[in-house]
Amino acid sequence: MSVRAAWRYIPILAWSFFVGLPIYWMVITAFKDNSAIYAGARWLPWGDFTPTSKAWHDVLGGSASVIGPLEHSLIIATTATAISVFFGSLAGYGLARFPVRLGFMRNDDVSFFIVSQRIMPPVVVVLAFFIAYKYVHLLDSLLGMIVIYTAFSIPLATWFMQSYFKQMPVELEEAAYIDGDNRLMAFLRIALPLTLPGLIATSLLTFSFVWNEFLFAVVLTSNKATTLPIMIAVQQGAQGTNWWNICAISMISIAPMVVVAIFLQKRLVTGLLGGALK
Amino acid sequence: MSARGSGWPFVVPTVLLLLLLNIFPLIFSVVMSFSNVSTDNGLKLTEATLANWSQLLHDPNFWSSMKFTVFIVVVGVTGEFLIGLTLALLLWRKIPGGGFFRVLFSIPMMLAPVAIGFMFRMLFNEQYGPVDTILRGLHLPMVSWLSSTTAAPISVLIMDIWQWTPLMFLLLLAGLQAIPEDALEAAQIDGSSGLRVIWDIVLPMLAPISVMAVFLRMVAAFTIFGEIYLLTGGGPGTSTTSTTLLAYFQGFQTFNISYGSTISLALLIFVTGLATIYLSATRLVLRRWTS
Repeated sequence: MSVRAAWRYIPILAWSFFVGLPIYWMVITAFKDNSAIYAGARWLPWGDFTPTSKAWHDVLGGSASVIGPLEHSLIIATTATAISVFFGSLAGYGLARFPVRLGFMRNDDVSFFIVSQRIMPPVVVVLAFFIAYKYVHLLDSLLGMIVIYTAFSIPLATWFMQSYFKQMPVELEEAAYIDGDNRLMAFLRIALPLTLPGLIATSLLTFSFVWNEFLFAVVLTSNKATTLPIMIAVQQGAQGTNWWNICAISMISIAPMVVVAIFLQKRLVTGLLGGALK
Repeated sequence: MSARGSGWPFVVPTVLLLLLLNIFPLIFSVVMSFSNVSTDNGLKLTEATLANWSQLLHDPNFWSSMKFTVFIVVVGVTGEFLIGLTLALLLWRKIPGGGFFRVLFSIPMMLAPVAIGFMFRMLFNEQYGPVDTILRGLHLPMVSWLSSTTAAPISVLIMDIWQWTPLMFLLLLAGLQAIPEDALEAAQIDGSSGLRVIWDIVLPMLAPISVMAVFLRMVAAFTIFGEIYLLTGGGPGTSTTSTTLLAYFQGFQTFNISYGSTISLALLIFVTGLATIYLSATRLVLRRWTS
């Protein structure tokens, strides 16, 4: 390796240390107990502390079981992602391919209206949702959470999908019309499958937003629809903080995304690019 | 664009959903901010009042929360952009281990904000956290990361940069990889130095995606909540209370829903204003720079 290439590793390794330390600490803490935490920093399993699987027993079915919240999170995140990406694709396709008019509004205005919803801070609507849900009995329900997450994810999904459709050549759909497809068929049969990388990237972003979201979950759920982030937050109790549980649940909650990121590394980057370049 | 009829059938479901689920709650929030809400025996709104808004203008907690939030947005997002750009440039060309570093560098943005808040509380702990152990080992002075009003905002900043530099890095890396090879080769044949090529060719081509990336981060950073809630709980004092945190406390701890709505709407006004200024300013600069 040339000297010129070698110097690159200095900042890269420095950043790796900064990024890696908290992650390393999370992983080893998931295998600690009281004695390895409160007596001062302990760095090495089998070196200066004895690892224990106590946290994992508690978390996987024991006193701090994540099974329920994990199920809620999975149901809420996959459903909300599917619905918002579907509607977002429909709207993105309509805006990219056909003229849209409403009074003075044209395609760009409608598209701006949809994207501008993204600027809204979640806390603006959460109070209103809290009161509304209280009266329609949707507080602490999976359905209620799916609805609010769908609403919040649609703008970005529309925006991303619109830019993917804009990049696609229109000829293939024209061919489908000649075959006698109507517009919905052409969309479902031709356009949607062709944007698969974009569809995947958009779904992943939406999923990770819903999966990790905290404000809506802490305000609108209490028991029957709690999600993983809530499960993490409640580990701080009257008897002190269960650091080991927090770290174990955090690892469970990030696992699916790391796996997906490793498999889709290349695709995700090109997918993100398509969406980000308008 | 083909002219086969209107796109409305495709767009209508989304627009209706947004009207029902975003615009309607927004209007409801506005109504609440101009009255006083009680939910004890069914929902009751008092007659119209400006009390919440005048309270807001004279509330030192609101202004200090805005100051802190803007600090995180400006310093944090700038830092994330600069570090993300540097890392993207370093990992742009294939180097041994590049794939590993790419995955490692993207992990923080996938973690739940609450988990990150807890992790940094552990790291910054003054009795048994590793950060102070390292400082002690290097014979550097200890820092009261979370218990001093000057250090706590910096701790939040470090956490935010740790969490969100990955997004900048990924977006900018994607932008770099989209730059056509011939543009770069031509410059190299001209004999321009590496830094000149970056300054003259790479950065202008990266400008549009940079504008988008900063915009996305800026809007999101204004609503920072979960990670602070668990790192410092807004303290010590109110030194790390972001505006969203303040609105949450007002709405769900003091149960002053009207005032909570007012704070959140003030935040909305602020974000919208800043986003508009940012987008028009960058459009001007981009036009001048790239033409």
